[in-house]
Amino acid sequence: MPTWNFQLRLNREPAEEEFDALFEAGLSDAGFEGSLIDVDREAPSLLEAVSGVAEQIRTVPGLRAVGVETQDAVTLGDAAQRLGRRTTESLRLLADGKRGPGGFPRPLVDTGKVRVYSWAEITAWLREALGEDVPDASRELILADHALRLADEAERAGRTQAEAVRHLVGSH
Amino acid sequence: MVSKGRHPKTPVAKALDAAKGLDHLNVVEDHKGHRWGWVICLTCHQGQPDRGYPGDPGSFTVWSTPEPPEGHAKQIHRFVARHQHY
Repeated sequence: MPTWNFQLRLNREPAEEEFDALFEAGLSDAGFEGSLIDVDREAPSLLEAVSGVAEQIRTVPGLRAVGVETQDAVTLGDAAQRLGRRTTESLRLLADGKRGPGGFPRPLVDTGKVRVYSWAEITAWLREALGEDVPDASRELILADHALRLADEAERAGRTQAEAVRHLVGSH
Repeated sequence: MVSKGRHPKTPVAKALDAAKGLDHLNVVEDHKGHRWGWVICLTCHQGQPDRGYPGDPGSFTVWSTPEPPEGHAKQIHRFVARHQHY
């Protein structure tokens, strides 16, 4: 099963006493920085991964995910998942100059074992050097972001409106 | 036996070593509940340099038993990448 990386924005920063509850809800695969959560989650699809995490967050009273961040820092594996049309190995060959015209963006962080790149730099290079039509963010991330924003607005509007929105999107 | 200052999960310990090598980052161990400690960006952090704060945009929570540890190590590397201040 694939592991999906994404970042969610919370409605507020978690308080000290809420960290353990978040961990015990299943977020042992997430890192917290302010109101931002960086997740690496195993799931059949990205949307299932995001909804699973959002559900776990809601088990902590008062906390909910309100949006998906399109993060810039990615590994080549993350980038391959977002692109959907290239494998990690294909990107690694381009990064190492073993394929393609060379000049692949340099990593932001390189520890020898892990290299973290800028997603914006990778997509710009793919457009300019290879002429590929690359979106700025994956469709699934955009869809998940819209769904979370809608759920948040419905939540803030009140119980009746939230129920009406659930009916509108066909969920019960 | 895991020495103080060393995270018990090897991939996480290595990611923390990389963070410790940078002047503007601090690694703090505080062992509170499931939390092992913090990686702190001293440029963004608001507070004492040897203390992480929940909700602080410059404080990253490090779990004691992340699952899987490799994923948490990646998250630390991404935190480091997000906090490259030139």
